[in-house]
Order: sequence, then structure tokens, then C-alpha cells
Amino acid sequence: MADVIRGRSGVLTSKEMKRRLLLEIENPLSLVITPLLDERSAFDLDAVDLRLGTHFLFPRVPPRAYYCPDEESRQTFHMRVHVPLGDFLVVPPHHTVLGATFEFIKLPFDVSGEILTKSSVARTFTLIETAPWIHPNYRGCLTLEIANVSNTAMLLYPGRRIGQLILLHVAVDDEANTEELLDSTYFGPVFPEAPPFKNPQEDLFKIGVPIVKVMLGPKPIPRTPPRQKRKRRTL
Amino acid sequence: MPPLASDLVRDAASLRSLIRSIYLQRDDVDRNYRRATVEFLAYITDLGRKTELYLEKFASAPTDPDPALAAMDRENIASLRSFWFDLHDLVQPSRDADTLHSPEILISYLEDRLSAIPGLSDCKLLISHTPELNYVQSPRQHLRERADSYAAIVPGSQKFPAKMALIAIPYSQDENLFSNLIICHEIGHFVFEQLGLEEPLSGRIENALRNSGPTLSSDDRSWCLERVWAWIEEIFCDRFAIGLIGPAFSFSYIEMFDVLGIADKDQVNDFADTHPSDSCRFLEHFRQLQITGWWSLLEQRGNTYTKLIRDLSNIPSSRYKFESKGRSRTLANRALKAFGKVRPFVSSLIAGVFRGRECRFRGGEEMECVRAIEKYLSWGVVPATVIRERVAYQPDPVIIVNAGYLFYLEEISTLIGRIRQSRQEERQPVWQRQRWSQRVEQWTMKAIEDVRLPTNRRPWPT
Repeated sequence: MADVIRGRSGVLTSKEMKRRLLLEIENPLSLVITPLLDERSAFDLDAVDLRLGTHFLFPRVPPRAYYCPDEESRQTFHMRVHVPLGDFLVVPPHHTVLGATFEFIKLPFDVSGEILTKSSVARTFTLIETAPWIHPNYRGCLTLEIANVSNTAMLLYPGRRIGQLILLHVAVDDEANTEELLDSTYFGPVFPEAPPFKNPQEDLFKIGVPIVKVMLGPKPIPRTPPRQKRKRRTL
Repeated sequence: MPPLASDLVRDAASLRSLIRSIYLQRDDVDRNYRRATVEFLAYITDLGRKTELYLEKFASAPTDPDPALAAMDRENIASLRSFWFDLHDLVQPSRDADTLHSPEILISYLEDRLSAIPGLSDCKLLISHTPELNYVQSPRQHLRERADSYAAIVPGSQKFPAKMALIAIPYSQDENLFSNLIICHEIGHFVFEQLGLEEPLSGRIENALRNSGPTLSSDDRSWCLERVWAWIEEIFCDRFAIGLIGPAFSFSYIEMFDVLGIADKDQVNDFADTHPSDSCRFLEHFRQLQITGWWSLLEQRGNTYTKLIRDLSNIPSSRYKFESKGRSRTLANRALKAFGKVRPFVSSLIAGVFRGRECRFRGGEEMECVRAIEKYLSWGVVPATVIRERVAYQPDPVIIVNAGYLFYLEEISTLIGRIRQSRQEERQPVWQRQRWSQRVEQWTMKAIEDVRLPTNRRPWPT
């Protein structure tokens, strides 16, 4: 293993990617990209094209007047949409949607990745990533934060190429533990997934913040029964 | 008393209102449907529009209509209304089972498998939701007949869509893969009806009943026939399902109906009016699995489900019981006896339907493929492209489904053991298993989707 790792640096070439694609799954250096459609034209010298998947999460009008990234937010912020191959999704101007790559990928333990908007797509003022970094050992379809920043509605066709995956060697040392346990966060999604936030109190307590303000939302005003007028005594 | 013209107008308007509330789209803006659903909804829309045109005639009808004609119009309105009562059960539940709320990838695959069977090309599966925690196939004969009568009243209305199976799945299982494999059994009911299999069976069933004892009264005879028919059709459907998707159907059945929970009780031998006993059914499962080679896979794995199938199939038929309210035990036994005589014929019926196209397990290379798929799942990877000795292969979808199910039943702990469970609740075994089972189902489904797309991967050798 040390021999394989030593001396490697920089961006993986398509040749290296293809070599790793043919390694058996238990090999920590193996790379998986599935499905690899139209494989001949999928690779550039230093990148592989990825396609748009068929499932989306549309932001919806939240049930409250604000969005708080907490434990409850996962179920409330998005609306799921499925657009089969052959159909299209309309993204209105200045709107965002969560999508995913059609390809499921598994990165080797010594490789990081970065997904970039394909230049042709970017020139239509459609961006697909604001958190483009992919850690070693990641597996799953990549969630894309798609934004139409143009002034016109944009049609997105699932199955079309939308991004480029660049892979980079990580300078792991010879003693790197290839048996390290895999991280469960975002492990193996095949659809776009909303972020699994913890409550802010929980996150901030860990760094010593004892009191955290939270929005409690509108409270119902308790209704008190109307006062009954006392009857005047009449003599 | 013949209706007045104003009565007819009122009833026509009422019917129009009912029809529009059914056929006009409601909240379908963001939904996508499978081809079968689109076709069915188009049929409903067309029927609704043509009926509206038909109903317009009442607006221009004379104020003093011929009493005989008016009575006939009134009857027609009643007939039309009653057909919409039937359609009402299907329309919104079909809309609810859109591509987001049904196992679309599985259904499309099964549709293709079905279409490959001789005589069933271009068959479609219309999936709808049911509030019952069960799977149901609606017989289409009466719908077809009613649609034909409808066409006699409303000019130009179409026939009920041909070659369309009407299958309802529990709304709660809309996205699952493994539990929805029970759909394969329901497809069996459709095939039974579509291929007219009652014809080769009816003579045998009649003979078996006749030869199993003294002459029966007409009422007793039809009571017995009804039960034997139902039982035979059920075991046909079970064996058909295994022919379509392999032992994964048996696993799904065991899990969905918790057969393990009743395996030690005498209850497994009880026949119901509509269904044979579990012991009888699993004997048929066992036989079909043996014929198609899948039993060799199950035997090697020897899991709890395999043991259950073996144990149930070993129960002698003398222990089968059937008791029905209001009928004597002698008559019930008579039905059982006749069923026992016809039952062996189901095997050849299945062979005749598939004509060699049932899914088979050949061991050897296919066993390697099962292991390879399980290995991919244990590393948390979609098993759509499987690498062996630096060659990329594409497994068969049936092998993917069965290997996925076996992995879910037996090997999921390997996957869980490889993942760091950082949160407190993630360390609870039930929580863990439920979470990662869901992922295994998703990866298996994704693999089925991927292998059906054109790539230059070689198929896994057989």
C-alpha cells in the first residue's frame, strides 16, 4: 500500500481514474462512479463529467416566518419532486433547488474531490455547487445546490451533464489507517438530502456557550373568559 | 312514474358535477406519472368529457318528453353514475401513486419482465394506493363489461384500457423495494385473467370435485368450486411471483405477513375461504424454488427464512385444515380433497406460461455474482457495476434484488460495523438496522435503475 501511495500528488488524470475504477471494491484505493453513461466522452484529461439526477428538493414556504437550522428543519424546509428522464424541471429566475448527481460515487481513502459546474452550464448563469468539496471515502450521489442566478426561468433536464468531478490526491502518510471507520453523516444517499442539523443549543454547548437564544415562534394568546358583570342589588 | 324534463336536467347536472369532481385534475402540478397512469387518467378524462357532451342533450330536450324515452334516459343516467362509482375507487388512488410515491424503478422493471412473457407483450401495471396494509389486484372483467355498456349509452366512449393490471399497494410502502415485491403475486392474478387460465383448469377442478365423493347439491358444488378456484389461483400466483423475481418474493411474504411469528402454531395449516394455508403455500414456494434452482442458493445460506420455508414445506398435507362458517366439515374436506388433486397441475401451468422465461439460479458464476453484490453493499456502494479481476461486469437485476435481500437479512451487520455511529441514538441496534436497511434498499433500487441503462459493461457470465 505504501508503495502505491508514495510519490502521488496533484490532480488525478483520467488514466488514473480509469485504473482505479477497475480495482475491486475492498481495495481502499478503488473508485466507483455508477452509472458511467457514454463513457468514451465522459472523461477529460483531469476530470469526469457528472449528470443531473431525477430527484429534487424544492424550498417551500416554511411553516414559520423564519428558517432555523435545527433538528426539526429537515422535514419542513423542502418539498420533494421527481422528474423522470425525458422530462424537465423549471427553475424560476433567482431560485434555488437541491438536486443530486445521477452518478453514485465512492471515493478512495487517499483522494478528495471537487465538483464544479460544467462551464457550458455556468455560462447560462446556473450554478450547481456552493459546497463543492468531497472528502475521501465519501460514497453516495452528490447533493447539488443548484441556483438559477439568471433573469430568466431555466429548464433542467435530468440525465444531462451538469458538473465536472475533479479528484485530488490527499497527502496521506505511509502509516495511514485504511481501515478507519466510515463517517455516517451523508453516507450513501441516492437522493438529495436536507441537512441533518442538531439544535443550536446542542452545538454551542460543546464550545462552552451555556445560554442560546432560540425563536419560539408565535404563541397562542390564552383566552380568558369575559368578566361577568355583577348584578346590582336593587333594594 | 316517468321523470319530468326538469327532473332529467337536475339529474344530468348532478351527474356532471360528480364526474367533474372525479376526472378533473386536482393537485397534479408537481406530480409525475408512469406511462400506465397517464394512459389511465387520459381514458378517464376522455370518458368524462364525452359524458359531459352527452349530458348536454338534456338541456335542449323538449319540456314535455315522451314518457318511455324519459324513463330510458333516467335509467341511462343511473348506469353512467354507477360506472363512475367504480372508477372513483381507482382514480385518486392512482394519482396518489405518482412516481415519487411508488417504487417506480421496480414497477418499470417488472413491467418489462412481464412483457417478455409470451402473450403478455405491452402489458402495463397501473399502481394505486390502498389504505389497507395489503396488496390487491382488481379484476377487470366487470370494468370492461361496464365500459362496453357505457359506450352503448355515450357515443364514442372508449373501451377500458386493455392489458392493464390494476394493482393497489399500501400507501405506507410507497417507496420500499423489498415489501413491494409482493406485487409479483398480484401480477400473477392479472396474468391468470389475461391469459384465460381458467379454461384449462375448469374441467380439472370440476372432475376433481366430482371424483372426490358423492354427488353434491348445486349450492354445495358451487361453494366447493369457488374455494378450490381461489386456492388454485393463489398458489399459481405464488409460483408465478417466484418465477418472476425468485426467492425474494418468499422473503417479502414472510416479512410482510410475519410468518415467522406464527410458524410454530397450528394456525399455519389453516385454510381460509380465499387463501390456502401458509404450510401449503410454502410447499409450493419450495417446489418452485427447487425447479428454478434457487433452492441451492438458499440451502447454502441456511438463514432463518430458509429454515422456515423448509419446515413449512415438510408439513404433511394431512394436517391441512379448513373450517368454514355455516358449512359442514365433510363439505370443507371435500373441497380440500379436490384441491389436492388439481394442485399438481399448477406446476405445468406455470411452465406453460413462462415457457422457459422464468428466472433461474444456475449456481457457479451466479453464486459468485451474489457474493460480489453483497460485498459491494457491505462497503456501502451501489452494486450496479461489479469489478472482478479488473473487468467491469453488470449483474442481472433479478440477482441484484435477491442478493440485496439476502444481504439485508443476513449480512447487514458487516456494513454497520464499518460505519462510525457518532450520535447516541445511532448506537441503538434497532435504530441502526432500520436506518441502514433503508439505505440497502435504496442502493439495490439504484442498481436496478443503473443496469437498465445503456453502458458498455459486460453482463456477468452465467
